Amino acid sequence: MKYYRDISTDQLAANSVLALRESRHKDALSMTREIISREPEHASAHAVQFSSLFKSGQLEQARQIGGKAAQLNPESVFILNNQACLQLEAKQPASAAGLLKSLVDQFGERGQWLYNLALAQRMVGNYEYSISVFQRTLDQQPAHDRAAFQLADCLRIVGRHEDAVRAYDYVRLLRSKHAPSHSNFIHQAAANGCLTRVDLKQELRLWQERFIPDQNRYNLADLSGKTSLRIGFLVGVLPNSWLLSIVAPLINQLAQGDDSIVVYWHDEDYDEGLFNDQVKIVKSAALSDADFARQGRSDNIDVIIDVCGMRVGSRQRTLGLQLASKEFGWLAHEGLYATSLVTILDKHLGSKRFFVMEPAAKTKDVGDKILLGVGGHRGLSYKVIKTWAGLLLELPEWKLHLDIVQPNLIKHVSERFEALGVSKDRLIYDTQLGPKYGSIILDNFIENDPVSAANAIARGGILVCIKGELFPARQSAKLLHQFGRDEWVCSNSARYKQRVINLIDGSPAEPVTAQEIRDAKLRNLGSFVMNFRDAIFRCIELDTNKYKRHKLKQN
Amino acid sequence: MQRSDIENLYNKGRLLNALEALNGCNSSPWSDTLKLKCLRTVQGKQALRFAQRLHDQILDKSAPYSLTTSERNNQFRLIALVYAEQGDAKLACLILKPLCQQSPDVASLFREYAFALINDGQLDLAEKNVNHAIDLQPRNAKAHAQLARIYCLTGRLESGRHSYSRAATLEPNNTSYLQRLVYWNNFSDQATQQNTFQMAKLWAKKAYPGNQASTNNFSTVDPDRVLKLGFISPDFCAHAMNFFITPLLEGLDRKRFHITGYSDTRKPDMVTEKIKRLCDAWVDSAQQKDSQLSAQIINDKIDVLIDLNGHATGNRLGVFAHNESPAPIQMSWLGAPSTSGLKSIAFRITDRIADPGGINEEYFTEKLLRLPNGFLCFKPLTSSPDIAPSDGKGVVRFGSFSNLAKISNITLDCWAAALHAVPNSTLFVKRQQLINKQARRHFANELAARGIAAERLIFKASKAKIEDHLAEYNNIDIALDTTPYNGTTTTLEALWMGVPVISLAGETRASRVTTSILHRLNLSGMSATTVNEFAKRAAELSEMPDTLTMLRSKLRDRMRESSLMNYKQFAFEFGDTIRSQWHDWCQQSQIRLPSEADKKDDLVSLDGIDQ
Repeated sequence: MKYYRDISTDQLAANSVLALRESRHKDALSMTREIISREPEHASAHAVQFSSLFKSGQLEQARQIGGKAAQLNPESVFILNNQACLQLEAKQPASAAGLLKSLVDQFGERGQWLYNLALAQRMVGNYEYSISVFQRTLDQQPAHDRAAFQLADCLRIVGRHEDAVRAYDYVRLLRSKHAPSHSNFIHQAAANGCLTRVDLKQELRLWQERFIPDQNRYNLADLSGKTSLRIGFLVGVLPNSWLLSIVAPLINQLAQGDDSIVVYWHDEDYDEGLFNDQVKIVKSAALSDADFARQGRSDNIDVIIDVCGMRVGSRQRTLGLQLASKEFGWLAHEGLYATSLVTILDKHLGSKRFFVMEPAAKTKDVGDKILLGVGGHRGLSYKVIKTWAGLLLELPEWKLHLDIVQPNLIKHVSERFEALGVSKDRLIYDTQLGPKYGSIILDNFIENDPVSAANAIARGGILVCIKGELFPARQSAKLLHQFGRDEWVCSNSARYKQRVINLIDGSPAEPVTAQEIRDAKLRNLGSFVMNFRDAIFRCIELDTNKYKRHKLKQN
Repeated sequence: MQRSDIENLYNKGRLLNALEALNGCNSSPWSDTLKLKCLRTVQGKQALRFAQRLHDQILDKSAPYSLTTSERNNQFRLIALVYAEQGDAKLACLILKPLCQQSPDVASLFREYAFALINDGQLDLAEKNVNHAIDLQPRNAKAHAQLARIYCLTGRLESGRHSYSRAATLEPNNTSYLQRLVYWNNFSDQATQQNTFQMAKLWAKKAYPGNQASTNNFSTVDPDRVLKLGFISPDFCAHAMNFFITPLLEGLDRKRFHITGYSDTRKPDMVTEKIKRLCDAWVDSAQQKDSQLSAQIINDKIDVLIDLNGHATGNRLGVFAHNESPAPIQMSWLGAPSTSGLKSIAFRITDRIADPGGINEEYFTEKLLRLPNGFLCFKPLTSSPDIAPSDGKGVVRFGSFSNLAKISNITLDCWAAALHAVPNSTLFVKRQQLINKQARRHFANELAARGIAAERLIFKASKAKIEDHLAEYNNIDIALDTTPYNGTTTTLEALWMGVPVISLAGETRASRVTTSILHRLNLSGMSATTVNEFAKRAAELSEMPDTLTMLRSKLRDRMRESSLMNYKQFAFEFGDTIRSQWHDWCQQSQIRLPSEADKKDDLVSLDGIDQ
């Protein structure tokens, strides 16, 4: 510092700029420090200091002084943009959004600024705004694949499912060789009734062709004769109620027995108390497919049970390479797999294929003339809203209770109902309310929710459902079969509506009795676990017999 | 010339040179095959004649034409493809079917058979065969695109879109699949304008990365001289285009405009001749590559080049996107429901009802030019049949003769709602593709899911002469429009036959065309904005038999008296709009040109101003 004592501030400022241009960042930094000690508000010195720190890779220090630099140099594109990026990296999206907005307002829209602005808005939970900014980013740069992905994801989060399907389709056009992009599209399209069975088959076959190598089998041990197994559960991003009421109780109970259980947890958030101590947890969301396969092999898994399908974190690639000797898909899949190596376990569970834990929290009974729509945890497809709105229009004295919690989803769903002529005051979103004996339960017939449906039936509700084409839309029909109520299943939306009207107009159905619930073993965890385990062993045996017959033929 | 030299010419794409050389060769399996390949690409009609001769030659066992089985099969395949392309798809199917039976593992053969079957209208069988081809080669993009086409033709639009999407991901560099997606997006009720816009921009970026606004400065800057207009279309033939281009060409003032028709029509007919006579110059451009046609247009000194096709099959957007823009002003009209995505197309002609101000602008790369009295003019068939009095025997007969791909979910919602609102009604759907079981089953199931019994549906699949087709409107009382892609020709035909049309207006141009047409006939009330309103309109109209009878007898006259058929007024407005853009261009050019020429002087004078 002594060295600079005799040099004027202006000269120092000029020298610091020169040093920055010549990449002498250390010199630039010491000079600017001297200037700032003399004139704390010296704009140019702050700018040079920020730039020097940024360019020399001292990002944290740059970020710390960046706010001041940006404030003193509100027209510097370099400072505003880079400070915003640093803020984003440091998970400070609100201040990043402010800087980026100022950039866009001052200098016009540029793809990258818009993208960062949208990202910042998304991080603060301002989804509607971020959707419009991601769209503007794509207007500027139609091949911006990250913006396309973020847009799709935001649309999904706010419950604009049909738009999300289109957006995921767009992402896979941009990332044509990226397996997860294809998986995302397939899952979204299947879960929103946008694919026929033939479409799904074509999609999965192509997925297999493109992303699963023909050869390579990781694990092909003979399981016949084994009495205990090492079972791996691959758990994807599932609705919370499914985890708490079906998946976790089953896994915990299985782990109490002879089998060893490993859970591969694909969701980013993990609830520590979900599984008991006997269950080994592997957080696998960040693992690549190869690493995941390595992990599976090192865990010596005999049987893997996929509870993910094509959802986020899908591991169909490793399943296609036979990660375990026997592979099953259960509950959360689309009904078909990209590989023939996976057996759909649901079919082998027989007529008692659902177990649902009794909910801990009791709800209050809904009032009269209220229909209950279930399965809205991630919003509702337009087809469902259209049908339910049609019913409300025909039943002007009735209201509809929806099990939607997130404010974003509530807003979007209400707007869609309103567009179809159903005012907001006819929709009830009270989580404290539940069905009473004889309530009419409207099933989300595009993506069934067996947990909500089962609980509603157990409380005496009459479930009206449609048996759809794809697996996600056929669960309720199976559930009703478990209760011996096949006659409640409708074949199309016109009959569905008519059934509801008939129920209201005086041909009531008999709710499921407590005895029938017991007979259906809906709440019997022990029996379900036994059935589940038997089904696995039966399938192994079937395979072994097939293999033996095949060998016999060959000989 | 040696065989290898000729093959070299063919491989380099110099087909005319290859043909010339082949004409000097003796007939042999390789030379005949190569000749047919060349002819197929450059001269369709001659290809057909040559294919027929070759076919006879192969079948004539007495002729000394020796072929191995493989050569014979290859020639048969090529002959069949030429037949399928040139209008004899039935014969193509007869040739390919036994070949498929002989070689059940050859995917390409099944694709070719499916292609012939599609052209023959046997879509069910085509679907089966193309699925077999996909089973054999799941990663073949062409097969997925073929399947997509079948789905779209039979009304299963969303499945069609998914198949095109698969094809596009399999061959990301083949922009034609992406373009198909842009096109079919207009038909889908699940696509947003934003999505279509993005897709069109992506297509433009991939297909023509350096595409910029037109920089053509070769024209003489004179605002009031005779302007040379060029129209490009593959549909200057017996096609709906005829009803709209003819009145414009008849009405445009030849003292102000000179017209050149660039015809991409592969099968010219009587209508082609008629349109040709209405043009001042005519170019058969079907065999020209984009670059050749572009050079030709530059050579013809066209001032305003107009695209009539948008992203539809056979389009020539490549000419408009050419590095050296063929014309100073390029615009699109009529065939394009959404944006081209190209910066080099500066304008799009529309009207204020089809594209209301302030709603759609952001989804177009073009500037919208709104004609004051509608964006189209209609000239119906002179031999149109008479309108018969309604004879529904107490039953209200709804009907639609629309393209099946336009019958979206929301269209089916509208139709079902109308049928529910009028219990004593039936729905008559006529389209040639309904001959296929899959198409009929799809619509019957979809309407059944909406509570419409099969007895109320009448599907007809006749392939009729245009006069007979129009006469079928005598069996309809009220036409139900499609959305989000309205009928244009079908709407006008229905109205011309005295049948009122009920429509659901959306936000896109495609979903507002019928509204625009109805507005010009003072029938805006028949355009609804919700499904319930659509049904209400249907119910109201069906309860007013006198109004229906009045419309039946008066609609034709009303059309004649309206701006819809006032071709002189329309052509004046069209010409005026173009002239106004030309004036702007001249003004900009006058500003630009001297500043380029006298750069130094300009700098000096600017310095002077600063001081």
